[in-house]
Amino acid sequence: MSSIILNKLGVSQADLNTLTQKGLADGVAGEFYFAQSTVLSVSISQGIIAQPYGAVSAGGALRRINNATADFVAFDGLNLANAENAVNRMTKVPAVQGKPVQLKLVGDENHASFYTQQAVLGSLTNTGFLTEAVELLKEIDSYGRSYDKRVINVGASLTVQDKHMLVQRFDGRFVEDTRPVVQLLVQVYLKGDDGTVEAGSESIGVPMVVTHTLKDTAAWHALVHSAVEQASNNLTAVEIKGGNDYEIVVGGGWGGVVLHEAYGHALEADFHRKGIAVFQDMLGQRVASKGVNIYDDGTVQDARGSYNFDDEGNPTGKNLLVEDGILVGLMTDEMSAAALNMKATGNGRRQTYSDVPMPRMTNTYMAPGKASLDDLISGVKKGLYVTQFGGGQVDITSGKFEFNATQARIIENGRLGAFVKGASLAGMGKKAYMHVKGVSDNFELSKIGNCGKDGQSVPVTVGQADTLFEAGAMSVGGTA
Amino acid sequence: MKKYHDICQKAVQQALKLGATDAQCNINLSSDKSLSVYKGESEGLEQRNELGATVTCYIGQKVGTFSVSDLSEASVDMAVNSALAFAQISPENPYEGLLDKNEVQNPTTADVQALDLLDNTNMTPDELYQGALAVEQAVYSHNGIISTRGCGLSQSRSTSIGYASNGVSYQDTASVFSASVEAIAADSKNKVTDYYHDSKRHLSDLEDLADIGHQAALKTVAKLNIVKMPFSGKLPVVLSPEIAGSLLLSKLAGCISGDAVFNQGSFVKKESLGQKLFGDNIQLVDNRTMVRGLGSSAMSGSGIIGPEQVAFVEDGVLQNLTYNVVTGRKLGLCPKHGRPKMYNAHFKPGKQTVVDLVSNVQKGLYVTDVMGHGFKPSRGDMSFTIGGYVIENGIITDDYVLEATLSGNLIEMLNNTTFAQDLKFKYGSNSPTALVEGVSIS
Repeated sequence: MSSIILNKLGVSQADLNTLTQKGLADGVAGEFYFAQSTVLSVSISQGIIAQPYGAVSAGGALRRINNATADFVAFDGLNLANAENAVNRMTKVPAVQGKPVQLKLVGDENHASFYTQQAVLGSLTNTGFLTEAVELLKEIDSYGRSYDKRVINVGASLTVQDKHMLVQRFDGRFVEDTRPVVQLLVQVYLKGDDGTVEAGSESIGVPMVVTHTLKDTAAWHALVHSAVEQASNNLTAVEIKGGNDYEIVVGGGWGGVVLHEAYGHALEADFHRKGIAVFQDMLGQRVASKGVNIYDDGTVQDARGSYNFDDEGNPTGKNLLVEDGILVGLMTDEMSAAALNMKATGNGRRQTYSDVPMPRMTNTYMAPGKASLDDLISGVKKGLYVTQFGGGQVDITSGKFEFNATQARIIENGRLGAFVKGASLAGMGKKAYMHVKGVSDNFELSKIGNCGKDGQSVPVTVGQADTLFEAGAMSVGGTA
Repeated sequence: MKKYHDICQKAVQQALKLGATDAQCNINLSSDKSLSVYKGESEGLEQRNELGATVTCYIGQKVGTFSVSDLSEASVDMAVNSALAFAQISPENPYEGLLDKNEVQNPTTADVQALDLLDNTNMTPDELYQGALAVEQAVYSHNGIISTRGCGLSQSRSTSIGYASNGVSYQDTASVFSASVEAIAADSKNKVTDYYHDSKRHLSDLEDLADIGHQAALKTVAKLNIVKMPFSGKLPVVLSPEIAGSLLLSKLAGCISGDAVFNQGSFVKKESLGQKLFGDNIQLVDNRTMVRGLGSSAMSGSGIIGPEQVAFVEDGVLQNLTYNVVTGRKLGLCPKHGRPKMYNAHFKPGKQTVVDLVSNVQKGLYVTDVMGHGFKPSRGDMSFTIGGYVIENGIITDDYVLEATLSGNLIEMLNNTTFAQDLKFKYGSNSPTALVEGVSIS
């Protein structure tokens, strides 16, 4: 494979290694990271195609690690002069005396590739793609309007990203990877009989070649149907009273976002390094009900959170975090792994070259159980079945988490009732999953997901099967 | 600076030569450095040089945009060619197009300088380290503090340069200095966190660094006294200035954005202009030219100087929406009078002190924290997880509620809000403390 990034820099891998060693001479670990990302995006709203947008952003960053100190020099513009300038700037920053570390890896350095090395975009000015994309968006717009007469506006956007990255590590390892992602978002606005407007949206964002999405009519039809259904449900939704006495069934797939917030973030090892996480010093202890198994797995085929190597150049792996309710693992980057004497789990990620890596989730999920959804719902006297969530958030120190439930139905005496509007779910991570009553067998991984932390956003997925929580595990915020 | 201006001009001329009827090029440059300290040690000096050039090409009312992250001739050429190729195949958009040549106004150098947004101080790594250390030492001087997520000091300087075929030409440079800390406190039962930061255009205006540490520590330690929510129902809440800014001001700003209105995603319609939507005492004002203001700008948009001050809500009556040239055309609003966003917005203060305002509340919550994304612009409904101190018999007590929920409706809330007199211009947009009646808390 010819390297796009080495070609741009105009150096061989050996030369780059020499330059990296020079820049990191006063360190004990670190890397020179480069990336080039090409994005094309086009959108429609009110039947009008908004201006098509394209961008190439390319650059690099040199990071020098000494114990808990990471000096960092980042630059836009992928060329050798900028790389050499970064090396010069780094050597002028006074260094802390570092203690060498022996990094242990979870994943296999030579593991299989999850992406082909094929670029999703043939050429940077791929007008053929854009012509097709504009046609697709117009089709989505007219299909959405004809699908339901109450639709007053359809918004849709298609974004294609082609990203190449290269890591030359201090320890000599050299890694290159490519990360193509296609994302299609559909949003519909429905006007009810009384004039109220409700929105519904659905999106898909997967690593794949762009032409697959453009030609998969069934896939985008499904997005429109789901968005319309959500908006329609919201039009008939009723208000409920909040309280702590609801049993909650969190739906499969996207419902895993509860897990992501309640557990995921608090198991990122940088928080543990500073002693501030809610699950601090709890390895080996019970943190969830028996039967709860939680994984973070960066190696799931075709999943949005998967990649071959993390942004420190370490291989990804399938990491068991909670086994039968017992906390058994954390997600680490190199610095937290070294500080906590743990393995590097391949979770050191960054949004762009100009961001510092930190422990981040990939595909985070709870393994399925054996019940059916009916089994779970039929036993519930007073509850909520929540299948779609708006943004969630967690305070990793107290463990407090919060979600907006955008699709939820009342459960009354074992039967599903009306849709609910404006409800939220809140709870404490340490408590909620200690009260799991049942897990169904219909496991699903989400097709979309972006996770934010310290201003950096990275693609992830979440997953689970339908999960029933006892009353009191979470509280419901109502609007009545 | 001339070098960048020349690159912009050359790109625009190249685009016109290749068949564009109009073109625009913007360059943004920034350099920043930051350093944080953890338990006395530097966590590292971070330095960034960022650069971007964006070219927009028009062929009549067809438009395409492309950005690149370096200014080599090959990259700028690629941006021009790609933007033009995009414009060629994109459908006609009846609202697109640059402002008419005769309407273009550019800010003068004096306009830019009058805002006083640039401080050329260049902090050394050691100055950054010593500053961050001063913040940290203040934090740890308080009992109960067990850790921080790092105490950081940063400085950044950014320049934007623009040139377009309709005569738009501008450049400005601004700086920001910031200090921030997230502190963690714990006792035998609880572990809590809170945050404090300050940002200023000039280093000399930054709050005292030790004070920043003390503020963060005091806010955090106070939260350890956790109680269960003692009541629920339709009760008054008093929102701290930060929370009033995020729950009232920024949510309202989102709903009066011209794009949201045009897309019918907001409860505000174009017809709402001139209508009384909120209480008599609601005044939302935006000042674009505040000296050293965090959001200040010498112009309202590309080629538009526009008014210095705009009242968006006056005595509860909606007077304006935010919109750029294109959105203005979509909504039939005069592009020259519009601004694409709020620059330094604030709610005008009321007459009472915070103590007086709270004294009216027999039972309620003083809200200091909010979490979640539970806001629906199409209805104004909101549902958030909140934290705050119990108010009893007109006094804010020491009892902190970590987890409560607030639900209400923005329109109703802004019909039942009383502001205190304590408006301060600390952030880009600011609100006084607000008493809001008629929301549900549990």
